[in-house]
Amino acid sequence: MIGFIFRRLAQSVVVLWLMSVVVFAGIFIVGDPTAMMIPDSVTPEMRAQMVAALGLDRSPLHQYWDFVLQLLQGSLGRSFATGLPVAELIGSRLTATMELAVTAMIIAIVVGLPLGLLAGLYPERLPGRVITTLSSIGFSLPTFWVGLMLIMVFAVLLGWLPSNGRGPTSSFLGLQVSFLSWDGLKYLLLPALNLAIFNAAMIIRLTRSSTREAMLLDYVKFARAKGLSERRVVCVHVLKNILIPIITVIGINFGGIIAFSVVTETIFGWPGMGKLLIDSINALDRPVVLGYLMFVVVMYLVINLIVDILYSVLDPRIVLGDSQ
Amino acid sequence: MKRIPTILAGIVSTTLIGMTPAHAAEIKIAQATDITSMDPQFANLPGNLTAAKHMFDSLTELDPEGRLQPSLAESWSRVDARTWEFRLRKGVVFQDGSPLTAEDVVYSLARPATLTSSPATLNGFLKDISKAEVPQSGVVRLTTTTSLAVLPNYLAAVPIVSKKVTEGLKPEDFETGRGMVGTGPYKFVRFLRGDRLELVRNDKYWGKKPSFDKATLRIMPNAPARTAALLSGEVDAITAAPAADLPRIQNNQNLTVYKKPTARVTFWVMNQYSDALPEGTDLAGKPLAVNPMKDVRVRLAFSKAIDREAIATRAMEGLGVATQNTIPSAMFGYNPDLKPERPDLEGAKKLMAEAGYPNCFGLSLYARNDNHPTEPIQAQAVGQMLSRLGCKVKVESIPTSVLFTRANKLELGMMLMSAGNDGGDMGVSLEYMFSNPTNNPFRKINIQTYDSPNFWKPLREGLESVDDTKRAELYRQVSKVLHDEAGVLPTTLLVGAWAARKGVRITPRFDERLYAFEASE
Repeated sequence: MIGFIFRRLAQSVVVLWLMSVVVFAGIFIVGDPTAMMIPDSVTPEMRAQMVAALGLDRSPLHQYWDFVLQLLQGSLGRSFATGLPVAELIGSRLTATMELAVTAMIIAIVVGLPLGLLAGLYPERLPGRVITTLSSIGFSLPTFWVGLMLIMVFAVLLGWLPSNGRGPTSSFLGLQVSFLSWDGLKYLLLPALNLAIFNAAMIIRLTRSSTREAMLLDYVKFARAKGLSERRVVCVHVLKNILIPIITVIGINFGGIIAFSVVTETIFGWPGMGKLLIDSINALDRPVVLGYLMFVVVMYLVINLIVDILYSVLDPRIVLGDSQ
Repeated sequence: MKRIPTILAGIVSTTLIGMTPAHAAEIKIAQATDITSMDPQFANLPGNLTAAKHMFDSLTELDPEGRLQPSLAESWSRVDARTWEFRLRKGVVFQDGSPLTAEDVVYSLARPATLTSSPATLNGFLKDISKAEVPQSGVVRLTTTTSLAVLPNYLAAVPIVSKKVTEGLKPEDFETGRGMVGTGPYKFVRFLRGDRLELVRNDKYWGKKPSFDKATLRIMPNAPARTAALLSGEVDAITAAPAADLPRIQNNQNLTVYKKPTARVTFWVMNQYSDALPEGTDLAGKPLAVNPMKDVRVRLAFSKAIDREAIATRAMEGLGVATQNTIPSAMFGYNPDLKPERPDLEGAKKLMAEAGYPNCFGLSLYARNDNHPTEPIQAQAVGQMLSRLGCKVKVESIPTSVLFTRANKLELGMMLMSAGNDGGDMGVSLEYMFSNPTNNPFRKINIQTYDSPNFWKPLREGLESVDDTKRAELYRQVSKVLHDEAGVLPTTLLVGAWAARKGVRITPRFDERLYAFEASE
């Protein structure tokens, strides 16, 4: 296992390097930040000074090299638009996004797994049909529309929950979090629900089809023949076997929520990272876009590693140390 | 039976009103523009300056109509064409108790030039000042490199900071409240990036005390989110109320809509520089070897073909005012004789025939898809209006970053732009809009290719003139030339829309902003 993790880390460095080259090249093609940012009411000297201060007077290759050098020193550079260090900018938003993503995933799993199992065990009965239909709806409704509906119903019409922003935060392990107080939770609930709906629907469908498949397999028959209770057959044998694809999908989607929950964050005014990315792309704030995407790659690599480790826990036949 | 809930509601609401202490009034405003930095001098961006104005004053200010008013400077005078003296208001103190001095002002006017990492420096307003000195206590004397009539307008955009507390601070220091010591109506409490700015009343403020003890500026760039926040009572007032939601807000008994023409004008830019019109084709689809936009008759024909009234009322859902001027009527230099041109298809066709394009030609129109929501719609509308001249029109909406990059390379034939006249002086924004490498070597970026001596002569004279009456007359002349030569085609002034709950009165402004200290109960 240790060997596996080391090999993975080595591969990760290569992936990161490739990614940085691609992003850097892409960002150069999009446009010239000086055209967007530097007003034309400055003297040529001022302009040259600003271009130099932003490091844009060097050749693209040189700028890339600057970026790599900075990175090796542990710095992602400074944002053009705000003048703040990129790491600080991402860090300040990371807690908000993580909080939202984790809450959404918990809701999705807690709702999705049992309902999916139920629908898979009783596909022809009424509850199974209802769950399947609901999951289709949850799957196909656009996030922004659901978000607006949630706001209309729970904030505007009923007035139960706030419509926008992040509520009061309290300190937890040095981070500012909102889930520790009821006031903060109220702000968290709607955006988390909005993110959870799509994921819950997906988990339901995945669980349902996997369960239906698994129930026909021999090991279920054997387990029953052995006289195990239906409860044990489903909750231990079936569940454990179908969890692997589900965990993979949860892992991928969790990364997606963290990195690109732009729509939800925009609608609910949640000061998270997705919004940061879009704003930075619009402003051609190169250091932030680059730093952000590098961060996302690292995050996906970590999530994939965790998913792989979970595989081996769930299925002893998968040996991580095995080199192929 | 029916009465009981009403009575109950009455009791509940009276209790609630009774429970609200009279001295803890708070206003929550949702603004559409982001705040990128707490450093009041970091960037010339509307969101940043709106926030800064709550905590910092400038030497001068612009009132809600865009007219120049005294602020930290009580009065100012021109010693000669290039020298100004600003007399500071007496008894003004910073929020840390130290008095405002002329040295603080001199320091504040020099500071933006030192913020070299700023993407949108305030130094554009200050670069013409060659010398700033203090001839006597409480007086600042500024010498400019040219005769600069608009200097007081420029200074309205530059917040005055305390020398003592801001020397040597980095942008991130301001986020935590360090350096946030101004002379303004509110004091800094807390800034949550991308979310909100919390403020509390400054009891030592020299001017009119704000009506609200506490103020929160929420950052909500998403339009439906602002509406929802207002409807749910999350905020008391919003800026840039979306057109689609206005009927709904208006129908709500508890809400009031405010509308006002702003100083932001939309106008069509036509490439008059390239030898061949970029992406221009003849009617058979072959690339054009000439540039018809160089012919004033073609530009005038386009102007006649455009129905400005229809754009304002239909395409912009009433959030536009048809105009031929680039500023609202209350502002300095407005030309009342220039009425919005009426659509005249026959006249336009005649002009096109005279210019040698009886059935027009093929061209592309560009608009930005991430600026004002009505811009792509206006582009579609104008595309259809031009096609009635026989033009083969392609309409494209692209992001600002792409549009500017391509426009600077002169790759676009015709595009929709909008420009705000936030400085309160029309001449300044026209100079900014029309400068290009040939007429002003200092300004490298140029997406305007209209360049006419008839236009520049009165504009330059106006910018330098010492006499305000003469200056206004020259500005009117500039607008007339711009219209006669169809340098660009102004179409509408954007109408700003704000909304607030009943019980909160707000003051809509020409620059689309909303200040908590200009609101009252």
